[in-house]
Amino acid sequence: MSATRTDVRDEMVKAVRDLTRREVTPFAAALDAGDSERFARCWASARALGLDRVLLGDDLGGAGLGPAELLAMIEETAAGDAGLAVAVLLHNVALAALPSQAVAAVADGERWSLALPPQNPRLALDVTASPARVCGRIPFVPGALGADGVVVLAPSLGPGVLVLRPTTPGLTIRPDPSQMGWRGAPAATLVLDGVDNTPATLVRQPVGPCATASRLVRGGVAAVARGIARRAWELALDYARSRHQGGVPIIEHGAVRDLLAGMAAHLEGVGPSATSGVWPSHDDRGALAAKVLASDAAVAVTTDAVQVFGGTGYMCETGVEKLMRDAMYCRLYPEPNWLARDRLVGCFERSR
Amino acid sequence: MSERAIAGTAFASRSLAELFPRLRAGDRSTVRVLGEARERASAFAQQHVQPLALEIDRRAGADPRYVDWDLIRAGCEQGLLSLVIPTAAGGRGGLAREMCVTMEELCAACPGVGNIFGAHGLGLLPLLTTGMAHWDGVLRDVAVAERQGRPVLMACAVTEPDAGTDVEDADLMRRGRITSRARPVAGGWRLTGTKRFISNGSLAEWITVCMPSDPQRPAETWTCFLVDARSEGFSVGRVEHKMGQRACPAAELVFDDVFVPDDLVVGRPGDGMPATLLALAASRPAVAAIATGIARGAYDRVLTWLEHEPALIGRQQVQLALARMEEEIHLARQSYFDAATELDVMMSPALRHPLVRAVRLVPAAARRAPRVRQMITSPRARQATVDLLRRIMTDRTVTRSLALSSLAKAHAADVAMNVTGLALELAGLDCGDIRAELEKLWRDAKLTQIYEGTNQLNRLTVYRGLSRGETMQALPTSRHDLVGERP
Repeated sequence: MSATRTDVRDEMVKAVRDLTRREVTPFAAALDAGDSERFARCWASARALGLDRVLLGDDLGGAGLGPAELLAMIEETAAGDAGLAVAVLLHNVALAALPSQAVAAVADGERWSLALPPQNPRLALDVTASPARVCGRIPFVPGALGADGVVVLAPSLGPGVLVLRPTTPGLTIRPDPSQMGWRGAPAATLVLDGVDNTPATLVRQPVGPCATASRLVRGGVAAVARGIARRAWELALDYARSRHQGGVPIIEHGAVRDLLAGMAAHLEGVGPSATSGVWPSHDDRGALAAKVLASDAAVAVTTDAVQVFGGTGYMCETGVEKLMRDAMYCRLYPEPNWLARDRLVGCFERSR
Repeated sequence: MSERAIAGTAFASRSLAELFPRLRAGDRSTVRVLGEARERASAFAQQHVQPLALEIDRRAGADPRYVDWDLIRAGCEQGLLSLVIPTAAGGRGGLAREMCVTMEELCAACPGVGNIFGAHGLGLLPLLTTGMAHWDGVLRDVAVAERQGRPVLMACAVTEPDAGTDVEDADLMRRGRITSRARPVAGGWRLTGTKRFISNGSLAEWITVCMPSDPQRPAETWTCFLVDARSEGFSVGRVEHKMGQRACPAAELVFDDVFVPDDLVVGRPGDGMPATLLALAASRPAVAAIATGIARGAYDRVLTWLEHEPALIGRQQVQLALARMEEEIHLARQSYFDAATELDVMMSPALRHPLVRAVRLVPAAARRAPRVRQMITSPRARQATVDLLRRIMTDRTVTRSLALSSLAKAHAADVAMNVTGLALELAGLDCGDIRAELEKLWRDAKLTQIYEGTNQLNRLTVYRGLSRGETMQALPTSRHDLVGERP
């Protein structure tokens, strides 16, 4: 990586970090509560920094940066609010998955989301013969609620992506009734009941960008997980230094030190921060491994962070329990980790 | 959800003997009693609790003060509030094992609802282990009101804003920041301070609360009081917005110079720490059962769902995960059963003691007469209770019971977290309606690693009581210097 690019990345990471500290972290509880006005303000601030078009070239009004830079910014954002970070991630990946002419049709200020193929084979999208219409159901699409459009990666329909807007005939967007984590990116189930299979909705796209999009989502989830874990670690360490039990700060108790050591080891174990510019997910193997490792670490770190806080951490006001809920979704999306591990081995098998 | 059939292999459909294999060698009356308790709790859980669990969680999430009183009243019909109240006080006379089996069933449906009845049991525990002074008072009132369909709930208030772990360990307490204070005055005591995270705190009509009379010697002067929630100076502060177990509100309780008459002191002044340890020995198996119930609820749900997903359940990774869950739940259940059995064996002689039997022969109305009551609550009677306790159990037996209870609690709480996490991971985000239930159980599970002492504190108790073989001062001293007694 050239020095210039490193400088740009460092500068943007710093800008996102400042933004997060100033405008996201203090309002994480509001975002978690589904405060759409607060989300709109955060989104506007993110846009002002160019976070909505990180991967797009100058010609499309973007910053022209690469995946490593995007993920660095996603990790910083996730340290403030994972839901917002996921919304930013999926918006960027959605636009990157579209052909240039389709991106040009996306108006400035719009927010898009991305739907990956359903994990359950029973839910695969299908096309009716005549007239050619798309039917099926895609559960849990983060950020789809309130989005201006959703790009659907649907390999079962052939090479290409479905481009859906809330007004697309045959599309129903059903809010997720019980979203536990990433609540800053309100999820929805997309029900496709005879969506027209026209060039406007089913946009042909080579396999490459779609595969890259899948990798980016997994790498992005790893970055989100890392941001969540970092935040949990910082909060737990501060609390352990300031909370007294038995007449001393609890950090002096071996039991708490052990918890903190485990958290630190998990954080170190997932490898370098995305902010260092290292993107381990250049291929499917790297993306899957990063996602599995980082999300398992995030669940462990956040669970222990709540434990360090004790009863206080279980109460919503401290914001620690929210990190635990957010971390669990990193383990479950875009596929549960047991399935991701299975696919990881599949990658090795295919490459033989 | 309520309509969904439970799979044939789910725990809910297994017999008592399958859940507790060692019961086959046990006495028939225990098997019968536990079987009935389980059946009753299971029917209540499936008919009343499970269909409402998600809705209660949602409503209490939006408003932490929300409480489903209809459900609590339905619990009254099952005798859940008088389950461990002695028959001599009008209750059902259940012991630890009965309580645990009941809690597992309730918490497989909804741990928050289960905790309402569990926290109530915790509130009345000190009244059971410190003599008969309150059997014909509050305990009988609870049992009578329950039969009339009116729930009288109790709570136990120990935790303080600056003292969580500190108040459950005598050594830590001596160095801790205990800010509450009980001041002896003519005819009683004045209580001042704040208690925090008190389950049922905002619902309880009676609260057992512990405070020291001398802040310089908190462990030695820790005293348990029975407080009427209508008392002047008592108020409920903030009701907490919790991650889970929302059906059971946790509240801050403020004591602003609350007067408590002498006859509502629980046990002897200064005996609060032994009373706390004995209460923890009795309550931790129930928490272990709560955690086991949570794990089992998640297991049953994901197993039922997987039976309609042949592509998934046919895979070894899924089968291994299910086997792991089965294994962990089984061991958690046996550990709470061991701890509860130890406790029952230890406590039974006290309840069968001739003195206790003799009291039962006196009509309840006569026992409530002022002169008799004065006698029962006198310092002499309290001393007699201590002497009786010391005859039938020792500091060592209580320490060992506490350690076994702590072992069960810490183990089962970890199992609850592991199993609910595994269930969520197996099901993923595409699993339809059960996702919300699994997520709720996972949120609920985390609290079991924290309340009744963090798992870390519980494991240190296991070390002291079992690994090191230490004997704690777990019973009140026989020759008491009456610390903090009348000035």
